[in-house]
Amino acid sequence: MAKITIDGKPMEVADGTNVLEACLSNSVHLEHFCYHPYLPVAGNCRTCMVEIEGPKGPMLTIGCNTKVAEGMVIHTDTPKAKTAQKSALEMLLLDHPLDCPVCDKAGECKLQNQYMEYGLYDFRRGVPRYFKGGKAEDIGEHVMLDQERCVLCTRCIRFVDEIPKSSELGIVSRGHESKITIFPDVRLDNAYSGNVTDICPVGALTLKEFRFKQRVWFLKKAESVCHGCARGCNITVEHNRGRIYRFMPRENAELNKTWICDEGRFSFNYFQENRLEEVRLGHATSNLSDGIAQLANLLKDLSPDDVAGIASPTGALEDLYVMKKLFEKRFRLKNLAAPFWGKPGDEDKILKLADKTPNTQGLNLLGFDTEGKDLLSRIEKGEFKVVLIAHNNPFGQDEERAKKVFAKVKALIVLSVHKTKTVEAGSMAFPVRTFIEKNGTFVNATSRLQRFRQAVEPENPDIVEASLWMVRLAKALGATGFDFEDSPSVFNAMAKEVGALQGLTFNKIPATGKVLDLKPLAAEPFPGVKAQPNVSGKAKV
Amino acid sequence: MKVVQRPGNKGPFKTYVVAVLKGLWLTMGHVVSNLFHPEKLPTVFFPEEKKALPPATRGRHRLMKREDGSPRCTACMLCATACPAECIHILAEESPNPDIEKLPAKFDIDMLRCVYCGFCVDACPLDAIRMDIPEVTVAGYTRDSLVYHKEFLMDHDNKDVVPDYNPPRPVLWTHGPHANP
Amino acid sequence: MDPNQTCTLINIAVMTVLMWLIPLQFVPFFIWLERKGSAIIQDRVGPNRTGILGFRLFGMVQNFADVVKLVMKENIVPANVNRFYFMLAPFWAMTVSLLPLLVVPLAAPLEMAGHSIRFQAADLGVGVLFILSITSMGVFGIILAGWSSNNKFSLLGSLRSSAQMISYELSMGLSMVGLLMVYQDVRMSVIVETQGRLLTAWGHALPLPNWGIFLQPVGFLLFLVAAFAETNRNPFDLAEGESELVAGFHLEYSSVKFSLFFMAEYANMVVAAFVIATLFLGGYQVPFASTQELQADPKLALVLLCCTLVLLKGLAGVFFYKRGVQQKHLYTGVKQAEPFLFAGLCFAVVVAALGLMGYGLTAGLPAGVNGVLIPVLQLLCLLLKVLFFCWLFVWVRWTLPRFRYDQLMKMGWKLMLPLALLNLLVTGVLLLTQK
Repeated sequence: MAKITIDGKPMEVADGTNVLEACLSNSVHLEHFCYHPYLPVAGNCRTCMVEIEGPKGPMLTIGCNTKVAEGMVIHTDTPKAKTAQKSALEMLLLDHPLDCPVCDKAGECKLQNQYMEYGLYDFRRGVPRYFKGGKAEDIGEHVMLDQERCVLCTRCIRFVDEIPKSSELGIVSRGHESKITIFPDVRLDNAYSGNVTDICPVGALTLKEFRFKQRVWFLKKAESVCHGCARGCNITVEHNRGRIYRFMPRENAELNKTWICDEGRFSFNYFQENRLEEVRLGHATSNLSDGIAQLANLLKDLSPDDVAGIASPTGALEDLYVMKKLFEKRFRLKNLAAPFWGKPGDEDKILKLADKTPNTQGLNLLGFDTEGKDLLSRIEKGEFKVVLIAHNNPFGQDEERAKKVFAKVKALIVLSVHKTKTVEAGSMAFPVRTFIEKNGTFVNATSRLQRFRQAVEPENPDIVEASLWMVRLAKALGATGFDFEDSPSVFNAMAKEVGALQGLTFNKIPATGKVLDLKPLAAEPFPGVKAQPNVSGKAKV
Repeated sequence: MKVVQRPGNKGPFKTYVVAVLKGLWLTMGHVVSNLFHPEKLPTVFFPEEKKALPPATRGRHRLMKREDGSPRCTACMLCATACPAECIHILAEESPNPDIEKLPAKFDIDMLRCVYCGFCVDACPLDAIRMDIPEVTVAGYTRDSLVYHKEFLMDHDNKDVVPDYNPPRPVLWTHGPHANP
Repeated sequence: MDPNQTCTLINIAVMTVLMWLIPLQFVPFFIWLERKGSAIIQDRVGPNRTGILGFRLFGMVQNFADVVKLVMKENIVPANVNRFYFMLAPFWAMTVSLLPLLVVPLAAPLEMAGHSIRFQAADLGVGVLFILSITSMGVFGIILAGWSSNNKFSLLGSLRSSAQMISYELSMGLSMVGLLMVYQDVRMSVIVETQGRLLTAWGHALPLPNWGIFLQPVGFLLFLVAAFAETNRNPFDLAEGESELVAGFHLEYSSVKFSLFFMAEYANMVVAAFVIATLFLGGYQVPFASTQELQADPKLALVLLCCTLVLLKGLAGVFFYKRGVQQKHLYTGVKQAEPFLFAGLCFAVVVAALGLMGYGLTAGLPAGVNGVLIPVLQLLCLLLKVLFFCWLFVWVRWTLPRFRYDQLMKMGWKLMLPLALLNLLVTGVLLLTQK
């Protein structure tokens, strides 16, 4: 620990912290621009200028690249420091085009915010602006580069060097002509390329998928968790008028830092395309009440042994819990399993995992049979008249096997988000909500219980959460103990029953998640990268 | 309590005869003058006759064009942001000219929602939207026909309705394709 | 059957139908007059848009549109109304409003081929009293409508208007009594006949026709005001009142039933105009040219008729022409040509009338024609008088504000009733001195 003084206030900070982090950690506002808490310090924007007292009197220096030392006296608000900060900003804006109205970053642009906070000077340039040229350069599968807007903070270069370690970007030329570009014959095509657009403080790097789609100030945000793989990266779902426009990574120092892979980032369209919109009874469409009533009629005449259930690791914890409870109370718990049908996907050492379902660990938590071989063979033998498939898509993933397994089943009840092959094979299909449209929890591969919140409400009221669908079915069948109104109430009931969740309620789950006492299915992400930044959540990411 | 006597409520006036006759005389005067001089009636026979609107009338919207006929609008959506009625719906697309960058692929104004506040005109940094077409009869038979599309909004001669009428605008771009004239 | 009797029966039948049709034909005209009159009083243009194939008849086509609209509307009978009375009320109102005209003579009887053709449906011995009794039945329509609608606004409106009608009926009847004292008869044909002479007072003949208005000026005024009140007409239209009663007694009525009330109101006014014209303005009598004089001089009727036609049609033609010139730049086609067409028609009538007059004066008319011309002239004369009163109704409505209810009652009971009684007294005294 080092004892330092900032603006006359003595304080104590950890060794190895830099001055900028020391300021931010102690609620001293210091503007900063190229600094990123999860990237190495470059110190090239010069906006975090502070005065540090030395043998020759106070000296101007940048805060981010100066480590604190015992007895250091720092000034951030002297006229000299303020002038230096303002001049650095003016320098950055010198050749920056003021095309904010057409720039997609406007509204979340650091330069824009910085100017409104610290700048507010009159334009002083007397000579014509230097045009770097190079607007809308296509530099990668997902990324467009605008040279004119670039302020050479090198955040993107540091990112590709540090996280994917692919190093596609660099600076060429010198002086005011220097610019960021891809190396010849290389394209910014690594699996994490989308992150450079997030960390770009200006509108130089933009995503093709989001470019010109929506202005950021229209977007409403909901905290969520990525559905793409068992890692469960934290994301923000950004939507407007019922439509999702992008997934943005949400800072979680213990999990994904501020990064997500492109696969997860661009999965948002998957959840609003090819959706199952109506209740299907055979070939006819119906509404939810009629569908439930008809299904309840069908099930009433059967013995509890005639019904099997196939759950899925794509369902939320609440869905799985209510389904388990339904089979426990009304049917036979041994006839419920969650077999995995798909093939494992690609994985890497950073974030991506081979298991492309978000909640396999959740199945383990609730004690589901994730293999389900016994159940499938019994289905194949024709022991069951009705099979309830929730979220799972056997026909879509392994059609031949599925056809063989479900050949003797009389009624296949399917709960599905999409119009899958299973929906077509089923005799009844009910639309259910995706994780974007409901509240719920997932448990990721490293046993982290994480909460996601509802972003949009589906237009069709017949599209309900799978858990609430089960509740309605249970009530229609006359089962008791299903007095749940919404997902949080399901979770709260579940937390009382499941040992690992003891003491939790839906709203008490920390924003970064809670690690449960379960055997992890995968290693922690980012091997060899500094686990914790010195200042988290306080720096402008 | 003070009782206030109404004037002219006493004597022969109580029978109203005088007042009635005076009134009848007045109205008959109107009848005679209007019968013999119908041209003096102030009525404007509207669809056939139209009154000239004042120069600064806030009329129907139009989208201004560049010299090559493409829209001046860059789909920055500041008008849609400023619009209190949320009647402007813009869908942007990539412009073939990288200096312009953005173009409206769709620019719809829902005239049924528009409240004619003119905020969109004030918000526009490029003077791309104006409300100066002197037309007050915005009417249609269907709701769809009252959603004005880009093509309709750009269907004009691009001239100033009022010559030399240049409202003061902030200087945002001193150089480049968007530079203020 | 006796052919004479048959002829009389046919005559009565035809006249009955005619007397029902005349007010009905007057109604659309009256509505048009109201609309155009109100417009012109208020410096407006009035209805001028509705047209059939471009013919707009100066706004008259608007009435067709109104009829189409009213007939097409849903005929609503609200729940919890007294269905029978609810249905009965508009028919009652309409029927009663048409009845009094049956005793009004349109022209002097015409002697033709040994038959006497009467232009009066029923020359009742009770004459004027029939009119009084029938008009006092009109209040039933309003009461029934208001009460059976099961709506407090309707009920209030009907109560107001019935109270008003009953109050003013008194002074109406009393003002008529003075007239009857002067005419010494209640038979309508006799009353009109009497008015054909010149006015004589204390043995001196005055250069004035022997009309009720000159004999009974106060009575005329009272009768006029009472007629306004009886027809629920502004300034006495308290049965309606948007601000306090929504629409008054016909609030719950729609479609044809509403239109019946609407028409009854106007038919009432037409009938009132006929009655006033007949009782006070000499009916069909042409001033200074009694039936006998007309029959004696075969050319007098022709000249009077032709001159009236020339005057009226000439004036109308000039108006049409002016309107056409004024609006010429606005329209094309039929819309542009229409006023000129009507002006042309008017001028054609003028020319025809002048031609007829010239032919008649130089060559002389065939024997029977003069006899036919007299009823035509007299009918025209009566219609002009009626038209004047129709216009008076419109004129007054668009000039005066309405009375407050207390003012209305005060005027009816404290002003008009004593005046009517005083009028009776004075009339009696004067009659006595004449003897």
